[in-house]
Amino acid sequence: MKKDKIDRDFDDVIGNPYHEHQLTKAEHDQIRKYREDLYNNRSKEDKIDDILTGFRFALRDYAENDNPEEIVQLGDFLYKLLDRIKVRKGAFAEYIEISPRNINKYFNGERKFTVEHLLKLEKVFNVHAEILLEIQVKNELIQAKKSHKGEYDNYKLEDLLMA
Amino acid sequence: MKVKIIEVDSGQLIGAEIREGDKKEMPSLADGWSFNFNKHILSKGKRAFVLVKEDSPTVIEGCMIFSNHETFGPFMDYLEVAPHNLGSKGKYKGVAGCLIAYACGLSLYEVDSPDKGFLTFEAFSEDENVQNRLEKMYRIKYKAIMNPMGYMEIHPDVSKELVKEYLNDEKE
Repeated sequence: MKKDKIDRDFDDVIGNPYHEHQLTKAEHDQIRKYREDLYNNRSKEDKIDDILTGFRFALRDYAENDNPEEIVQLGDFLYKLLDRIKVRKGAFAEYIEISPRNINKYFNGERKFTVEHLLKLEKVFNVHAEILLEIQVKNELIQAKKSHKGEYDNYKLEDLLMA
Repeated sequence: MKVKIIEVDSGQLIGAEIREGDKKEMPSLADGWSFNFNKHILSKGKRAFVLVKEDSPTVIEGCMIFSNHETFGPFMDYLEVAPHNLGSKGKYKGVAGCLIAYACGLSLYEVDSPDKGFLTFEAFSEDENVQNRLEKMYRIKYKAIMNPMGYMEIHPDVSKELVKEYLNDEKE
């Protein structure tokens, strides 16, 4: 956040411990209609931008998580994004010049997107290629450490200096 | 997610992190907080998120409970900053803004239409004057508006602004 955002007026506190937030069916239907109307009034461009902002948020959140509970492949994020913006996997593969027959291998992490692929994704989805690469490398490191547990502990600077 | 909060005394930006909270670390009334986060985290469908400084990851600067409400969709059940951050003598500011922006981010990513990007919450106080002040503050600070049921809502365009402002969302 920016430095000029100090607010000295009042402290934020949200919550009502006395209220279960249960609504009647009529109230529920009213809110659902109100929400649908608001959503339907958004332009297609705004809806796509909402999705892309969420995508960037999720990428960053995962990339900056030092201890993720599970590995999420870059392909998982992309698959979800394509589903939401209603682009077929095959069309996406062709567009960034990957063989459609192999696209699933990229999505499941079996094959890695190249820097060239990531630079294309940067332009298409308005997201820094660095963070896409960071996620790929992060996952590779996690997997390598798991599958070669302790193996790399034998490598020491002292041994190299004595060699 | 890495974020920045403001150290009030120095005016410096300080590195912090928002992460999912563990039930063992949740604060409560016994710790001087207004809500029993240690109990709320146990409720079905509720997730707790905490903001901590990078150099003191076990000290909670702010706490938020987030859920998917059957009517409102993305819902902020509770939000509070640590007692040592309250008032004019508070140590750090921007904690609540970062947590609210994070909840907006969750709404933009995890939730499908038509609720994508919306965030609903209740500005409540037992004192009506305080409640009115809270509502006014959320209108001004976070551009929240009141929905037909009297709950406050942040809409998608503002959610994106808050994500950009507090979480440094940078487009390519």
